[in-house]
Amino acid sequence: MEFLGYERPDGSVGVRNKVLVMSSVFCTGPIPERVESLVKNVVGVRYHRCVADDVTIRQLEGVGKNPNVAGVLIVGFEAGGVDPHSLADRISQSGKMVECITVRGSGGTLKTLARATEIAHKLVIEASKIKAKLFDIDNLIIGVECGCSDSTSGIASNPAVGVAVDNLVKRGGTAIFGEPLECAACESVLAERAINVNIAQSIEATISAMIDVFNERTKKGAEHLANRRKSYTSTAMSPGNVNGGLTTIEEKSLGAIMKSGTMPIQGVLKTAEKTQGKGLYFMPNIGIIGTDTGDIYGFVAGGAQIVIFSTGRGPGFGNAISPIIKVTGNPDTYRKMKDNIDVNASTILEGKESIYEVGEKIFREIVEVASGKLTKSEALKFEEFYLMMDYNTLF
Amino acid sequence: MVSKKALKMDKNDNVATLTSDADAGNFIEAISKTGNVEIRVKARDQIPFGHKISLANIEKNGKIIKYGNVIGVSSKSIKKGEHVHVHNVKSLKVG
Repeated sequence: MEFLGYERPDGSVGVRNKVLVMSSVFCTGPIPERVESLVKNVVGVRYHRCVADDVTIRQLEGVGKNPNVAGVLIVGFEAGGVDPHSLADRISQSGKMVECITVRGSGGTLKTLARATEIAHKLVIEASKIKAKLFDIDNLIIGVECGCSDSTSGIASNPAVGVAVDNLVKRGGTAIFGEPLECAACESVLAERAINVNIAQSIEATISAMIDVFNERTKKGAEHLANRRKSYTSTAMSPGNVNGGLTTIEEKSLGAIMKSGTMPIQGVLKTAEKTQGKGLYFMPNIGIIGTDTGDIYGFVAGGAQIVIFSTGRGPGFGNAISPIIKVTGNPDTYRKMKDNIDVNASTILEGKESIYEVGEKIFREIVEVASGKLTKSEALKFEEFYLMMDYNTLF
Repeated sequence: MVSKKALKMDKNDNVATLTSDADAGNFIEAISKTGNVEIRVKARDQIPFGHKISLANIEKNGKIIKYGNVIGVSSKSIKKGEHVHVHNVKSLKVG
């Protein structure tokens, strides 16, 4: 099975053909966003801090190397943040078009804005010459996330997404999933799927470390709340979960894990780390702060060209680099949010389609979106991008 | 009489999840991931949407299997067709 994609010099294949204008420190101000508003197909990403920690560097480099990006302009300041020139050097190892300017080096903000616009204008025209060609779907890397979950997630959208993930991985493709807290009480179930003992131990250690981080933080942040001092595992079940029909933490976690399918786990990735081979990977993003669905940004920086988002309540966000395919099993959510949800899995609950049939539908949607079909959020220009932060760099 | 449906997530499961509210006496068809009716059971209790029905008689301290994995053990014996939830199941991880 094939999709229409854009070949990159490093052998990866993009499903979109964007130019990235990215700052390496917040001192540049909103130059990336300004250039985005002026030049077609540009994504402006502003690094909103001035530290140069490993997680930030991996994310900036990873986003630049994402196959959906044809060319990159780094805008630095000559003070603080990530060194713009070494960042540009690292991204240019991928062989794609990379340029780098600094605000002070360009002689001020207005001159930088003009130069950045000029360079971006040139890069998008160059990028537009890259013709889409047919590639095997084993070139696809998808990120898999769930959020705004409800009682339909574990029985409809997550299992159907899992079927689609299995389909892709069986055909030689790659998938990345995260959310270690949602694996609580089911560490061994995931560990049994590891391809070797080292990875199995790493999965179990990672999930328990994440629970430790959670427990530590809730103690620090809310000393007076006695119930917050309990372990995550014993407080993860909310009254709403129980009313919805979830009986134990094991059941809740297994329902979340369903979205990863059933294939063997090839490795545990650091935030924004690139996959080293094909197959299914776990990116737990321990100690990383982002949005509720921050994992998505780690997957995209790790090279995911498409993200599948399984949801109960159906949030409206999108992603500027890699299109997000949203799937809901809740019929009410689909009815209300179908202008921003791509696949209806509520047919499973209505008895109209089986979990496998919806899984096939999601898989076909992945291939179509890979070939250029716009997702609902892309058509709305709901295309955001954020960088996640390492918790340890905040203090 | 119209049968209500429940999803049986794995072939080894001894519970299935209702896709609509059911009353005691309703017949429930447990559907596999491929859409086949695997077993038909009569509900002994009123069971809400999203909650589970037992597909077999389960002894006290018996494993409750969903997604092909143990989600807890029964705290009392459970008859086929009964509502399976916090009143008759406990977690093995949190007690």
